[in-house]
Amino acid sequence: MIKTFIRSYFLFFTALVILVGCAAGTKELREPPQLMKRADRAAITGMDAYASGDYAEALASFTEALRVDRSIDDRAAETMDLINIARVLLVLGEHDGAVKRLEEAVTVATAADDTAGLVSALSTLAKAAYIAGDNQRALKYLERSFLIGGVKGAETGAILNLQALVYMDGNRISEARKIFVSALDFNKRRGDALETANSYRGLAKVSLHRGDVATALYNYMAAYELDRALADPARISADLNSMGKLHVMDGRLKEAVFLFERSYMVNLNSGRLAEARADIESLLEAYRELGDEPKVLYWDKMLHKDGN
Amino acid sequence: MVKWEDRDARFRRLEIKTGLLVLAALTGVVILLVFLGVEKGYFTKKFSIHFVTDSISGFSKGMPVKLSGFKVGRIKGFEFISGAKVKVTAVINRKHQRWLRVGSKAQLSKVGYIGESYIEITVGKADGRMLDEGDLIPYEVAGGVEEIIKEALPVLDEVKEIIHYINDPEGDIKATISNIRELSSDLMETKSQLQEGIAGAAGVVAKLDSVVSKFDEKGDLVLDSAQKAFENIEEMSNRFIPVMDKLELITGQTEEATRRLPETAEKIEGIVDDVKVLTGGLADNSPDIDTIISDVGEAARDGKEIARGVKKSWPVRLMLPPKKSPELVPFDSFLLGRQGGGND
Repeated sequence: MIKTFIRSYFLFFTALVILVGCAAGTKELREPPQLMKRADRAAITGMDAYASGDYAEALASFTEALRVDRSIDDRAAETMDLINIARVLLVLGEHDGAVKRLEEAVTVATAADDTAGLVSALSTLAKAAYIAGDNQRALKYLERSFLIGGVKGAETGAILNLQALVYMDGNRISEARKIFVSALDFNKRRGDALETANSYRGLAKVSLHRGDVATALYNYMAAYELDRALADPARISADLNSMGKLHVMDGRLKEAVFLFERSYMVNLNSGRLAEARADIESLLEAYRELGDEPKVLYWDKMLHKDGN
Repeated sequence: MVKWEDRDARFRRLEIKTGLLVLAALTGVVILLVFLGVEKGYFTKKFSIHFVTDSISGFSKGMPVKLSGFKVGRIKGFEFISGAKVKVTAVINRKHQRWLRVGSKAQLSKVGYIGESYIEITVGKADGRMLDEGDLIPYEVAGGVEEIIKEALPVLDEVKEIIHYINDPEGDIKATISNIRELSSDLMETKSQLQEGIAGAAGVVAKLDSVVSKFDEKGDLVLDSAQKAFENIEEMSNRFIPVMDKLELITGQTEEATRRLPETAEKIEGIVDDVKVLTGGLADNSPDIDTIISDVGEAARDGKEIARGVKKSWPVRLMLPPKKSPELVPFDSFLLGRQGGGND
């Protein structure tokens, strides 16, 4: 009996030790090297600064991350840093600087056999080409990125949106529509609110091309709801302005002026003065059609006021 | 019917075996409890003593009571008494009773200057009566780092005042220094002007010489030259006048500043003495402070390592939020600036 007791106790204790040991015996959690941590910290600072709209700080942080990653020959991280710098430069309007960085990223990613990095670099080059108005070049980069990476990466939804925009600019409306629909489905499944809103906006434009104002309005409304949740003034005002123009097309001027005024408020209070000025011009046109002279005078005064 | 115990020997007298097992387990538990009790001192004989203090700030229930650094008891409790004072009760192990006699005093101390607090009881008079249950002993306030800091604060205030007084641009020291500076530069100027004057005078004398020697030959010319020389002397004496006025003014200011210097020097001397006392006090305690500081640093490093280890261990690491890692900024197909902005 004592032997049984001892045996049972021994088995229990051994099982407990093994269990605790397995739980405590983690996979090797070695601390990454100091320089790698420094590069990561700089990159994360850059990401946070970009998200909060501080593009100068983002650029400085990504540049620092690039310097450290280059010093330790971390090619994958170097590719990511170059692409991030290029994307910030595109937002700041520095097209040539962005393209130079992206070409470097392509070289490094190719040498390091980094498919994901290469796809991101090529798709960003496509975006840069599209912004510069070179649709042919944009399509070439897009085709190359799809050839290398297929339609499965994290940024696929955004790349599909861009491809559809390029097609739409080239008057390939049906193809653009199909791609926007695929992009919308992809982005919804991934829960990417930003790109889902972009897909809705794209579909709205397609509907407008076909003369389907109701569907265009529906899509802009869907994009607007998502953009409000993201709290991005540029997108919100673009949606409001577009919806206002659709109401004007349909003869619903009162609804249109309300939306133009909301768009004006958003642009004015976020410092987007050129866009605010464009909203005033839309308002003036609408109020003139409505025959509301006091409002026309008021907004005319606002248009010529200092600062507008 | 065949019973199991008839078939298999292991099942014979099963109840007895089970009972013995339970008994063994219970015995083990009891032994463990007794062992713990002995460790905690529950079975040791004790007696209580009291002392009265104005405030129990720094005290806590269970705080150790030590005699010559050796733990002899602990604080049991606190009680308010008349006069808003607090009676503190300490329980002491009977085997140390012979060291505690009338004349023993209680003091609140710390290990080092900033370590754990405890009550230090002094050994009483050798011929005094042994303390017993319920006895009251006096409580003494002991100094520590707080005392040094309390003494240092007024000195630091005075030092600040003096430094402010010295640095005050409108103050005496600065004014004196600037006056002395001005005086020395004016004196240099005066010196150069005097040298010029002397050189001029030498020139005038030389001229006079030539005037005298040529007097016979060129009467009018000599007189003209003399006239010019006198004019030069007049001009130089005119230039000396403002310099002398300035000298007078500077002398007056310097006198005023010099008059105030002893007062200033006295104040500075007083402060320097105070600072000496303070630094002397700090220096006396500096070996301890050095040790304390390095111990604190080491403890902080150990704490960091422990925290790092705990963060890596299971299940703590499961509770921590996942670390952010670098990612690409969003691709974002909403293209600002393309043909007027947005997707329009």
